[in-house]
Amino acid sequence: MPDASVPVVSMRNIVKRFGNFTAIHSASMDIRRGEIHALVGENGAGKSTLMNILYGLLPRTDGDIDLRGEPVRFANPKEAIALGIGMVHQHFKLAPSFTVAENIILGSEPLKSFGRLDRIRAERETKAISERFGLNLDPRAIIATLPVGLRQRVEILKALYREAEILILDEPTAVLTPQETRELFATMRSLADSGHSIIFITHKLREVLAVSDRISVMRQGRILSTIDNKNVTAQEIASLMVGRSVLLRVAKNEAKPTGELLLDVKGLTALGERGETAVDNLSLSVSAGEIVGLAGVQGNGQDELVECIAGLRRPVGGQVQICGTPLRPNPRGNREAGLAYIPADRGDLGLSLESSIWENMTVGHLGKFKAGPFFAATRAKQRAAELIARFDVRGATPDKAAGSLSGGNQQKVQIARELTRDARLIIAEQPSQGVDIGAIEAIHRTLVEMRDAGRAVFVVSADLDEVLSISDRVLVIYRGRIVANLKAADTDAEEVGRYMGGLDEEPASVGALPKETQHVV
Amino acid sequence: MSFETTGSGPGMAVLNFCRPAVQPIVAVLIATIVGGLLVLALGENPIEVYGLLISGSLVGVPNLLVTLQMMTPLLFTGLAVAISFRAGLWNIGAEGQMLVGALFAGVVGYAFPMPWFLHLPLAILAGFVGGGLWSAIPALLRVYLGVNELVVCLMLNPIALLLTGFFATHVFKAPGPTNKLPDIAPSAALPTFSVYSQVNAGIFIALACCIIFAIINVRTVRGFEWKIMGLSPRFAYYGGINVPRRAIWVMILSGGIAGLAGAEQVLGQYGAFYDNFSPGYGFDGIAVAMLANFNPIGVIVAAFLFGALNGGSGVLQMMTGLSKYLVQVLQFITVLVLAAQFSWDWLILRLFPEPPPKSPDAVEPVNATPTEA
Amino acid sequence: MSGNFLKTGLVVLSLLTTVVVPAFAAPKVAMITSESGLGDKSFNDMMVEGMERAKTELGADYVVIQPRAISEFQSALARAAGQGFDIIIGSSFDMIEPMKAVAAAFPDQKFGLVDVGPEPLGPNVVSTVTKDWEGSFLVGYIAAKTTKTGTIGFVGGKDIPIIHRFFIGYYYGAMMANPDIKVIETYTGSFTDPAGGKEFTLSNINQGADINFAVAGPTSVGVIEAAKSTGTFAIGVDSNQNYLAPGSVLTSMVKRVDTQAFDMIKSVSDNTFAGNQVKMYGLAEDGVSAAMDDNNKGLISDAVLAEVDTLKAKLLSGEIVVPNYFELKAGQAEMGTPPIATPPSIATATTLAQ
Repeated sequence: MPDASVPVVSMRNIVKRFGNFTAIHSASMDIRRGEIHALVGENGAGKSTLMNILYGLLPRTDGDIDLRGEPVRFANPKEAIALGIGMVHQHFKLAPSFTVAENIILGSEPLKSFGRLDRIRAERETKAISERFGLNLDPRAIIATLPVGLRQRVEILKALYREAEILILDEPTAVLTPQETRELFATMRSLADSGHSIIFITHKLREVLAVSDRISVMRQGRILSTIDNKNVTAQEIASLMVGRSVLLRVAKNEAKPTGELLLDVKGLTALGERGETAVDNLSLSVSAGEIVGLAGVQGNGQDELVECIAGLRRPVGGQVQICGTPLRPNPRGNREAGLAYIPADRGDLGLSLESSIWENMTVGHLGKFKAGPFFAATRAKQRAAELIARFDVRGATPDKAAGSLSGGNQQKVQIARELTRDARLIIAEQPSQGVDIGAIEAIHRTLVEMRDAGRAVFVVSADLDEVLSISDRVLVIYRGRIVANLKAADTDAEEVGRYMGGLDEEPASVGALPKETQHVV
Repeated sequence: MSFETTGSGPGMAVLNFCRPAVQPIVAVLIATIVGGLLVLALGENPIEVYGLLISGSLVGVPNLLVTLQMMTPLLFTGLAVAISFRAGLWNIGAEGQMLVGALFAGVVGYAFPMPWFLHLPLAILAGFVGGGLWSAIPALLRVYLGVNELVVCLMLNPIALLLTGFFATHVFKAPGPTNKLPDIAPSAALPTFSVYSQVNAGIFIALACCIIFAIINVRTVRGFEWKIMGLSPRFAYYGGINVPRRAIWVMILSGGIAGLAGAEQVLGQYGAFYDNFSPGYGFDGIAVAMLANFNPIGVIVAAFLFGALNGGSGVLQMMTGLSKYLVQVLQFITVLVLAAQFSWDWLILRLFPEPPPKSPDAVEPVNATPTEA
Repeated sequence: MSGNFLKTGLVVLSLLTTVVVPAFAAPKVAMITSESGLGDKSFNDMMVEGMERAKTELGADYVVIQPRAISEFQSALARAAGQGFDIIIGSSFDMIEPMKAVAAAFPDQKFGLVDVGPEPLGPNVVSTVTKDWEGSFLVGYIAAKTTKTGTIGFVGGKDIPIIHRFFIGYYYGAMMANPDIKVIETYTGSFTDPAGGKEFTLSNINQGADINFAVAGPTSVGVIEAAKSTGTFAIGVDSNQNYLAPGSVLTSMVKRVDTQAFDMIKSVSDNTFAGNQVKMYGLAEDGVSAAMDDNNKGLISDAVLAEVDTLKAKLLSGEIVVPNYFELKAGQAEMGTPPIATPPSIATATTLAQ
C-alpha cells in the first residue's frame, strides 16, 4: 500500500541546457497519486521539455527525480515506461494501417511459441482493458478510419496497457472537438479516481480550471508556483502565465499615426490546415507611424492571418490592402506592394539555414544586384558584411551558413534583410523569439525607429510583455476575431490576458465542471 | 605560408574550395576498395585490373578518344540532372527526355535536308525541343496540379522508350531488320574524328553547356534563384522568387539538355535514331550529377570518370576474362556510397537536432537592463 | 638504377618469349557481342558455344567483349584490331558499317561477321548469310509430318519480304512432306506485340492448325503462349527457344551462328581464310538446324528425325533446291527442285515486294 504522503513523482531543481541555451532553470514539482495535475504556461515556457525529461526522452542537465520515493534517471522512454510512466504526445505515434489492437501491443507483443504473434490474445486484452477504463474501442478497427478523438484514446490505452500509473498528456485537447474534449476529461477523471496520476500540459485556462486538481504554472523555464484548483481564478493563472515581473518598456515617444492605412484588413476569413475557420470575418488596420501589437494565445488564427497578408495562404473571403494595393495571391506581389515580413518560422520560411548569410540577406533584394541577367555577387556580399556589422550579427561572416548562427543571430539576419527593404509595412512575427534581452532591446528600438520614419509596424507575438512594451495599440485575437482594441498605455497584462483567454464576458466559475466543459474550445 | 585557423586566408579558401569534393572522392575510394575485394574474390589481381582500367581509358589516343565518346552523353544527362536537382526539382526523367530528343533530332536529321549550316543547328535544336517538351509534362503537372515530378519522370521514362520505339518501328522505320529511322543526311551529322571512336563535335557542345551553366549558376540572378529554390523552396517563395515559373523553366532546360544528349547520339554516334539505343545514359546521368555534387564543372569530372570506367571496361574485357558488369558494379557502389552518405547526414540530423552550434560568440551579452513594470 | 636494369631485363625477356612463340600458334579470337550481351539465350550465347568448340577442337584462345550500345561497336572493333587477335568476330546486323570502317583502317586484321547480307564487307572480312529458308524448309517438313490435323500455321511478324522468305521455305518443306497439307499464312503486323501474336495464333488454332511457326521476334512469345494454353505446338525461330515452354515448342529453327563462327576460326587456324567472301550457310553446311534438346524430347518421332539426314544429303547433292523468295517472280506457278506449286500469295500476286 503506497504511502499517500509520498508524492508519486518528485522533480527537484531540474535544469536543462541545450548548448548555451537554458531551457529549464531549476524547476521543481510534485505529482500526487490520483491527481490531475495541470502544467500550464505560454508556448516555449518549457512544459514539453520538462515532461520529456521525466519521460526519458531528454537527459537532464541537473536536478533529481524521485519515483515513488526512489531516485531514477531514465536513459530512454523504455525505462520510464517500465516504471509506469506513459506519455501521449501532441502528434500521435500510431501506425495508421494497423488495427487498434496491433497498435496497442506494438512493442510489447504477446507471443505464442516460436515468437508468433498471439493476435487473439492481443484483441482480447485490448478489449478487456478498454472496457475496464470505460474507453469504448473496437480492437479490430483500423487506426486510419478512426476520428482523432478515438486515436487519442488508443494512445492512452497504449500507455495503460503498459501499466502506466503516471500519464503525461501533452496538449491533448489541441486537436479535439469540444465533444471529444468533454469525453477526454471524463476519462481523465475516472483514471484519476482509479489511482492514476495525470499530468496535463496545456495553455488553455478554461480547461485547467475545469479538470485539474492542482496547477503548476511554468514561465521561461521555471515553475513559478503550484496551486490548488480551489478559490483560484483564471485571472490569477493568466497573470502568472504571462508574467508581470519582467516587463520591458521600450523608450519611445507618443505615436503619431498619420491615418494613412498601410495595412487594411476587412472581413477577412481564412481556413486553417484542417479546414476549420481560423480567421473569422476579421477586420483590422495599421496606420503609418504606429506600432500595432496583436496579442493572443497561439492557435487563435494569428498564423493564418499573417500568412494571408504575406500571400502564403489564400483567404476565402474579405479584402486586404497593403499600402493601398489589393492583396496579391503570392508573396512576390505583396512584397512589391510594400510589405516586409519577419516570420516566426525562421528555419523553414524566413531563412534558408543551409545557405550562406549573404545569400539569405540578398533574397528579396535581388533587384539591387542585377546587371542585365548577371548578378553582382561581390557587391551582395559586401552589403551583407555591412548589414552584419550594422545589425550586430554575432559570429557571422557573409559566407557562413545561416544555420550555424544561434537563434537570436539568425533572427537578426532576417530582420536585417527585411528592415532594409524599402517597404512601408512591416509585419514582425515573434520578433524577439529565441533572442536574449540585449538583442530584444535592439530589435525593438529598430522597430520604433521604423515607426518614427513613417512606416506601419504590425507585431504579432505570443509574448504579452513584448506586445505591451512595443505597441502603441494592442489588438487581441481570440478564435479568429479581434476581441479587443486597446491603447497600450491604458491597459495592462491582466486586462489583455483576460481577452486572450476569451474570458471577458464569462468569468470562470470554478467547480462548475459540467457547465464549463460545454464551452471548452 | 601557413593555414590560418580562422577567417578566410588563402589556405582556408583552398580548403573551402575542396570541401565539396571530399564526399565524392571518399565515395570513389570506397567503391575502389570494395571493387578491389570483388576482383580478388573473382580470382584476379586488383592492381592489374585497375591498371588495365586506367591504361585502357587514359593511355594512348584511341583509348582516350573512347573515353571521350563514352563521357559525352553523360556530360549532357549529368548536367541535365544537376541543373534540376540543384533547383530542388527531381528530374530523374533524363533517360526519357534524351530518347524523345533523339527522335526529334533523328527525324529532322533525315527528313528535311538543307545546307549543313542550317540543318545541323536545326537538328540539334530539335533534340533540345524534344527533350524540353517531354520534361514540360512533369513540370506542368508539378506546378499546376502538385503532382510529384519524381514519380511522373519515372513513369515517363518507359513511356518515352515505347513511344519512340513505336515511331522507329511503325512510323518512320528504315528498311532492314533493325528498328531505326532512316540515316540522317550528312548535312546534319556531327563530325567524328577517328575510326577508334564515335566521339564527335557534340562533346564541344556538351562542354560548352557545362561551362555556360557553371557561369549561370554563380554569376546570374537565375542561378542564384535556382540555388535558393533548391535549398529552401518555401524561403525562396516567401522571399519573392517566382518559384513556380522558375520550376517550369528549370525542368524544361534540364529536359532540353537531356534531349541534346539524344541529338548527340543520333547526329554524332549513330547516324540515325535507333530504337532503344541507350544503355541507360539518362540514369547514369543521375549518378554523375550526384558525384558532381550538382556542380556543372563537377559534372565534367564525374562524366570523365564514368566515361573512363566504361572506356576502360572494353580493354579490361579484352585483356582479362572479366565481364562488363565489373565496371557497372564499381559505378553502382560509388552511387551507393554517395547515397549512404546523404542518408547518413540525414540520420545524424534526425538523431541529434540539438544542440545548436557551440561557438563562443553565439550568445550575446546582456547589455540592457530590464525594467520592472 | 637496379630497378631500371630489372625493367630492361623484363622487356627483353618478354620480347624473347614473343619471338619464341611458334608461328602456328593456337588462334587468338576476339568476339564482340551485340548490345544485348551475354546471357541473351540467343546469338551471343550461341556464338560463345562456337568459341568453346574452337577452344576444344583447335585450342583457340578467345575473349568476349560486350559493348553496351550499338554506338560502341566501332570503338570495340577498332581497339581490338591490331592487338594480336587472329580474327575478330562480330554477331550483329548493326555491326556491318562499323566493321567495314574498321576493316578498311586495319587491312592486316582479319574480321568475321555472322548472319548478315549478301554483299561482301571488305578484303579482310568474311561474312555469312544464313539460308533461313532452308531451315524453314526443315521445320516445315517436320511440322507437316507431325501434325494430327493436317493443318499447320505460320505466324509472321510483319508482312515483309524477309519474312516471306521464311514462309516460302516452310511451305515448300510442308508440301514436300505432305502434298495435301493446309498451311495458314498470317502476319501480326508487329515484331513487338506478344498479345497480338497470341491472338493471331489462337485464330490459326481455331482453323485447325495444331503447329504454328513463329517468325516474329518478341511477338513469338505470344505464339508460344497460345500453343501452351491450347496444348498445341509452336516452332521457335533464330535461336533455340525450346526452353520457353518445354513440351509446347515442337522445335526451333536455329541459325547456327556457332558453326559459322567456328568455321571462321578454323579458317584462320588452317590458313584458308579468304576475305571479301560471303559464305552461305544452309542445312547442308550445318548453318541451320531444328533444335533438339531435353525440352522437346519425344515430341518428334525418330522416323521423322531420321529423314532429316536424308534431306541434308539431297540438299548437298542438289537433288533438292529450296526456293528463295527473293528469286521468285509474281504469278510464278511452281518453285524449287523438285518443283512444287507456289502458294496463292505468289501465284496470284501481280508484283512481289523485294
